[in-house]
Amino acid sequence: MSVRRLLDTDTEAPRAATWQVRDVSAPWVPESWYPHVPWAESHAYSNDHLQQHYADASWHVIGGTTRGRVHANDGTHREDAMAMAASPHLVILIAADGAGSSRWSRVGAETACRTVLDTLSPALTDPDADIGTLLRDAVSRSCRAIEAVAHRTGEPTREFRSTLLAACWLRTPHHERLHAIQVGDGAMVARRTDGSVLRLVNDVQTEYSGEVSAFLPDDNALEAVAVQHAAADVEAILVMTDGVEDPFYPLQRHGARIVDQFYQGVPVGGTMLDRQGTHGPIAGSPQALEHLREWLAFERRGENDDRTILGAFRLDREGR
Amino acid sequence: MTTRRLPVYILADVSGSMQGTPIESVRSGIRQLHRDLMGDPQAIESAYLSVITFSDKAQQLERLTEVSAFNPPDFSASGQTNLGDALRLLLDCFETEILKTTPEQKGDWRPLVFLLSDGAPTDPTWPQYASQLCNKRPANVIAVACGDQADVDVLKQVTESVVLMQDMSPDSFKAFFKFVSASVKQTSAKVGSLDDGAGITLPPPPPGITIVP
Repeated sequence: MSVRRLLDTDTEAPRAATWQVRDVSAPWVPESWYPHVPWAESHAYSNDHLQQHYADASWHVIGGTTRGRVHANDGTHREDAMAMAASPHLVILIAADGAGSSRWSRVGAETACRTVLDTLSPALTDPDADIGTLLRDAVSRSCRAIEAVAHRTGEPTREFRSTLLAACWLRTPHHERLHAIQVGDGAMVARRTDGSVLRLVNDVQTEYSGEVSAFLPDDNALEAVAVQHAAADVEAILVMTDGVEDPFYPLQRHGARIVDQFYQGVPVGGTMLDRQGTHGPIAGSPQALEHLREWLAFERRGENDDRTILGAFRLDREGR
Repeated sequence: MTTRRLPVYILADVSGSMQGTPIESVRSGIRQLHRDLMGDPQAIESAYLSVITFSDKAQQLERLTEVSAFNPPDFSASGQTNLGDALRLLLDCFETEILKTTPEQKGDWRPLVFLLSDGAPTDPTWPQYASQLCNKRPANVIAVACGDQADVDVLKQVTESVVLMQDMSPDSFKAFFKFVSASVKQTSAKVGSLDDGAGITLPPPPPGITIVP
């Protein structure tokens, strides 16, 4: 028998595998963790999560986070997380993306979102709150919260690494402003009434895909700077993890059209990628959640990460 | 909008000492790698394979090609071990084949390179190219010292990540290429940038293959 036949178990051309959708079999965290991370016991994990608020009649705030194809194929948990809240004068949008190379990153991402929301929530009823200071505090509190979870569970802090994006729209009697802070990749943009797209936090580019410059709870996360922008001419704000930014990159070119898709829907032939399902408007629509779910199901070759996008859409755009 | 790719280069020593079962094992291993990656839908969409062989000189037998279109090449063993030419060609490939992130497009993932050698280089040029690979880190390079005649010290000057294949049996090569396919599948996970020393996380090496400290 030839050496080649001895070595090769299959000399036929291999068949290409197709994507599978598998249920998650492992618990979100081990039960032994519940005494150390009390909120984890009641945390209702789901592969996809969508929610919305109306901040009086002016803003529709909506967000969704969905498990990507890679995790679905592997039967593992979504590692993105999100949180949001709104009051007549304040909108809070938060997203986090757990590092794929960190075993408990989904816990890091969820911890970050909860901590940031907890830090900012008092401002929902306090129009005089200093949002910039609260955002910086939120980052350091998130780092400490993740470190505490790591310490209590006996796991290395590196196993909880996560990015973080947080944006707030604030209205006072004197002005409207956007505040934002970011650790790691992903993007936050605002579309102005003139159609231009503003990136809220400057992009820190790395040479190659998948290499992130900072994570919670690493020391360099504390170097994140809270920024602010005038917002009277802003009609839409988007916060997204890289699972959404990367397929639509660069947002300077494509961000305005994404906002159009949220306001108007995706018509037949209106895809920006390999495939987008057709659906009606998202912003201000009674079918908003259903249409957002469809929007998040876009297809682009190689782009199979978890996806999270949150948006705030001004509903009284005329006359601005 | 271009597709982001994970470029994977196999850099194989095909010098005379690899004749017989070792070279057949490398050919078979590449076929096995291809089969394994065809079994992973993310690899099908994002991994691109290239094969560079080196003996008296280096040759790129397969340019960077998506997994579903990749044809495992045939090659034989003879000649010297011109590692310098292999590294030079690899660096040239990075310049011409790899896309980096710009304000207009997302770049490729940092390339993965698996360098297999069973001996010591016979050319005088390898140190200058090794130092470029080691210092500039244009790729994540894993060097495999095949058997006890391989010069581990030389490989350590190309990359910090060196593993030793203790014997050159077909089973060892098979296990090594399983490790390669597992590494490719794992590499698309998010990692820290090189600045923080995180690098990529590789799966544990299989039995018969040990990490050289």
